[in-house]
Amino acid sequence: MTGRLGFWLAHLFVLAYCGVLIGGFAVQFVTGDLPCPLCILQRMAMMLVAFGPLYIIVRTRRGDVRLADYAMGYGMSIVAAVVGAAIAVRQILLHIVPPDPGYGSPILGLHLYTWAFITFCVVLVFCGVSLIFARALVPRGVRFGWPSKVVCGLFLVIVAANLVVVFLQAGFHWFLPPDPDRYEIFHSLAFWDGGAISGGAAE
Amino acid sequence: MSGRRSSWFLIPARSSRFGHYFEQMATILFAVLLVAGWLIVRGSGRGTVLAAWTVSLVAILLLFNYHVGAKLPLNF
Repeated sequence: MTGRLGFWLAHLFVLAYCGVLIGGFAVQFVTGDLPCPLCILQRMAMMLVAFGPLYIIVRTRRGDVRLADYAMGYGMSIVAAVVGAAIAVRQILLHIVPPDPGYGSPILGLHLYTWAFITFCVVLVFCGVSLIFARALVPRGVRFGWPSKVVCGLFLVIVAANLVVVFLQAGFHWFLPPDPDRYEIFHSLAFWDGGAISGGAAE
Repeated sequence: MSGRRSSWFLIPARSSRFGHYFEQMATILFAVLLVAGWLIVRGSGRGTVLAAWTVSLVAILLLFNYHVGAKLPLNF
């Protein structure tokens, strides 16, 4: 019973971060707030965090998951969450002095980098508790079925989508623009007026 | 876009000779993450997964180090 719980909690973990990353896309495309380099780094850290439970899910293909694999998965998540939290704290501290309004629009009263920090803290607590009860929560008697395939596929699609979007944003330039408010690739290829490279994008 | 627009990340870091390569790394890093994710999902061995994850982590730390090293026009 608890083995199944551990299995589905790993799914919930990956799905939760898929939701957060899709939310980041929603803010980017709906409100037009383009992510700054530190925001992109936080997205990367979230993906690294999600690799842990993803590894645990995929291990069920070979039958019961070993305790060592379970510990390795959540160990990876803990290390990545510490890195992600450090990046988020860096961005929080950059904008902490009043009257700095912060970077981007606040969502539910907090900026996205503050929310990112909260998610990394939640991950640390979740992984700690999961490792405390690791013997009980190691997936046993479960099958790698279609829900697992959907979760793995969705996660990979989100990583690929981020790859495409960040390429569109950075274009072929060495530098991202100082104010990321447009997709450099379209301007580089002169798809619309004023196709010249500006904003420090070229070198 | 609302909020403050910072341009601090355009200022070259201490290693200005190579610093500009790190900005382009964002695209490359997502490609590395995609490969690592693909290796995990296809069921690669423990060592392979750990190696791919470690490479991604080190690359992210390098990029983060570049941003931390940049001088900031904070005007305190």
